[in-house]
Formats: sequence, structure tokens, C-alpha cells
Amino acid sequence: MIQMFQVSKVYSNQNKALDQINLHIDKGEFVFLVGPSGAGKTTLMRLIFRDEVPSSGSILIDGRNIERLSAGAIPYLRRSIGVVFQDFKLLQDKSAWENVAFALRVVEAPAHEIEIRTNQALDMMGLGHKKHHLPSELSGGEQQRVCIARALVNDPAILLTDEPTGNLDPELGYEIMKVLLDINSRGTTVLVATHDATLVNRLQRRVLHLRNGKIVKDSLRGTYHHDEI
Amino acid sequence: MMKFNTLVYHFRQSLNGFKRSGIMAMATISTVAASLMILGAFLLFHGNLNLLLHNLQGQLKVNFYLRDGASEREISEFIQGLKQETVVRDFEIISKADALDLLRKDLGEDSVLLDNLSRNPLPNTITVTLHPTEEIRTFREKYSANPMIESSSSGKDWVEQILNLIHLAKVSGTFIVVFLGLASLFIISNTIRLTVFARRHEIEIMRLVGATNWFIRSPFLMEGVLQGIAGALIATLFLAFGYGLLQDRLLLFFPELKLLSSQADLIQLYLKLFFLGIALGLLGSLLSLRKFLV
Repeated sequence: MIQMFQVSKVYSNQNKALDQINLHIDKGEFVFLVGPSGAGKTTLMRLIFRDEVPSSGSILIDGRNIERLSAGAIPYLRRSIGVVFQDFKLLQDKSAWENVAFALRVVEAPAHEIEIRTNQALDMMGLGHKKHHLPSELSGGEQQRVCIARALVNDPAILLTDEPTGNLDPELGYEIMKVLLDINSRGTTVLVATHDATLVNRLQRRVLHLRNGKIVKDSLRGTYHHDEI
Repeated sequence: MMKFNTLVYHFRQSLNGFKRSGIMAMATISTVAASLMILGAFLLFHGNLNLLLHNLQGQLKVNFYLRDGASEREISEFIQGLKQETVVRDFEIISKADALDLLRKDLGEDSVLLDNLSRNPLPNTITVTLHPTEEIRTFREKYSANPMIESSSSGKDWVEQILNLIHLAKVSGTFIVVFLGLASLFIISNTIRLTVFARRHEIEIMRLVGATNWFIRSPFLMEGVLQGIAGALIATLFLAFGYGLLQDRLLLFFPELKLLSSQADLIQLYLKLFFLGIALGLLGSLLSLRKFLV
């Protein structure tokens, strides 16, 4: 599903965010991406949905080489990838419902389908009763779930989540993680960037360790400790 | 092709954008309205000038009097020359005999005076009617230089002066219209740019969830077009009202004045303004988006 070959990313300030990454993630996998701040987790995710292009190397998503995509084809790649951002990126002047429906409007779904699927996604996140609230009227965890609902509403093949539990208390974090596992069990490939060691250790999934832009460890039923490596 | 409910959604978005940009949108609309009003006033002026020109056309005649004994070849060469001239509308050859008949008719009872002539003193004449031009004199001088031409005459000098004035009005008017058009374009594109900037967060999210560039652009383009339409409507209303008023006043003082007043002509002119407003809005927003959404 996601393949990277010798991928490096150097930003214009000469900061090398990723260094010769080789990676293979199969369809339906659930993968944690761990490492300290600045290890390159966010950059790696941004490369996958082509918010950034690699400085060298190539990236294949579902067999397609994405750095050669034309500008017109990029939106269609992004529609197959749901992204949950660390800072949520919700529209503050739109209700939870409108924020989720937004992702469907963009792909020009018919009105009745927008209605049904938006409600489904919000119900699944347990937010059916708060769909008319503005983001400012929701807690951090609720906003996080709106963001996940928006990422899922298009039924993407890949779900990327960047620190989905970063702003949440541990119990709520675990709840979010259960939702992600549930989504994964329906066949969506899920990639979670986090440095929440407790959650990683509790779930025992594949763990990719990033440090200084390199993958230093890739374990199938991995654990993560802040002081390791 | 964009779906209908997407278009409706964009339309609502652009109306919202319109409300949000408030004073800036008002500024844009008034600039468009002012530009189109001046343009419309110019077009009305221009239309009336053309009408005046049409009425002046009777004055746009040059008579060339031929020397006696000009050969057929000389005459036909002269006529060939006239046929090449773009300013020539048509020409007529009046022979000595025809000229005398005409004179006889003109004199009526006094034509007995002509009976004593031993020979016809009138020259063969070529009468040329010109298209409206400021170059009557140049034209006349050029052809009078021909040795077979004895002399020539043309309409009054003031015709030429009026034509000069009309020409000046057209050139300066075009300049003013182009300048105002560019000013409105600049202002529209700046308003849209501010709207784009205010909504950059939303645009970023649109891109991240897979919106195509056209999807992102549409509400801004519609907003520009709406501003253009609003400006054009205001301009048209003011012009129609103002021109009607002016027409009444002018005809009160100069009842014989012929002014542009046919409904069809006026409607055509107002439609032109309307579409120009739309074009300004569309072009203005395209210009500002080009820089933001690549």
C-alpha cells in the first residue's frame, strides 16, 4: 500500500528531516510511527499525502509513483487518504457537522449522501448529539473526534493520524485508539505518529522507530520506551 | 463538470464571502460602478457623435471641376485613383450638358438668361462623397494637384473642425476607459486577494481533503462576478436615469437636436456594460487567485 525507496527530505534551511528511508506497509496494516520530536514523523506523513515532495527517492501509494503526479491528479490521491492533524485543522466558523460534510462537498457527493454519511461518521465517533456545535464549543477530545470523522467520511484506503492523543488525557487517548483499531479492522491501513509510549505498549502493533530522519527499528509486535536507542 | 448542488453550495459560500468582506466589497462595487458609469457615459457620447456624423454626411462632399479638353484616359485614371481610396464613399460624374440642365432647372423662369450663351461655360464635374474623416482638406488638395483639375470646392471648414473634435474625443475617451478598466480590475483583484487571505485556513483544509483547484477557486470567482454584476447594475440604473434627464433638458433648449434615443440602441449599450462588469469581476478574481493557488 505504502512503499518508500531511498527517500530523503531536506528542507530549504538544509535541515535533513528524512534520510534514506526504505519502507513497506501492506494494505490493512496498523502501524505506529514513534520517535522524539523532530525525528521526522510528521514529514514522513506529509510525504505520503503529497503535502511535501521528497528531495530524492520515490514513494509509491497503491503502486502509483506519487512524486510524478500532475497537479490535477493530486486532489484525487488525497481523497484516498484520510488525515487527522495534530492541530485538528477544523473550520472554526462551521459546526461539527459542516466540518465533516466539508470533506464530502469537496468530492462533490450528492446532497442526500452527504447527509447520511456525515451523520454516520459523527455517530460512529459518538458525537451525534453535538453535531451542531462549533469547534470552540467542543472539548479537545471531541474536536479530535470531529477531525477523525472528517478523515473517515470519504472511506479512505489509508488513514494517517499525527499525534491523535497528544492533547488528550490517557483514558480519552485510549478511546480514540480503540476507534482507530476499529477502523483498521474494516480494512483501512492506519498509520499513527505518536510518542505516547503507554498506548504503543498497550496495543502491541507494528512499531517503526524514527530517529534523526532514519528508521532505526521496525518491530512487528513492538514496544516503545522513550530512553531506548 | 461541476454538479448542481456543488454550484449552489459555492454560490452560498460566495454570498457569505461577500458579506464578510463588507466594506471592501462595497469599495469594489462602487469602483466598478463608477468605471462602468464613465464608460457608459462615454459610449452614449460616442453614439451621439456617430449620429451627428451621420447627419453631417451631406457636408462631406468635394467637387472637382475639370479643365475643358481633359482626355477620356485622364478621367478614367482619376477615377481609378478614387476607387482605391478608402475614404471615398461614392462619386458621380456630371457632364457639362447635365450641369447646364441642372442650372437651368435651378434658375426656373430666369433660365432664359442662359439662352444667349454661345457656348456652355460650365465645367465637367466629379462629385465625391466621403466617409466621415478629418482629412477632407488633405484629400481635396491631393486630387486638386492633378493637372486636368481646374479647381475644386468642398463643404464648410467647420465640418472639418467638428470632425477633428470628434476624433480627439474618441482618442481621449478610449484612454480614459482603458485606464478606468485597469483600475477596477486592480481593485477587484485586491478585494478578492483579501478574501482569499482571510480564508487561507479554509483553503488549506480544502486542499488537504482533496479539493481540486477549480473547486477552491469557484466561490471566489463567483464573488468577483457578483461584485461585477452589482457594479454594473448600479451603473446602468444611474446612467439610464441620468441620460433620460439630460435628454429632456437638452431637447427643451435645442428642440431640433437629434439624440440617440432608440430603445434598442440603449438596451444594447446597457447590456454591453453589464457583460463588461461580469468580465471585470471574473478577470479581477482570476488575477488574484493565480498568485495564491498554484
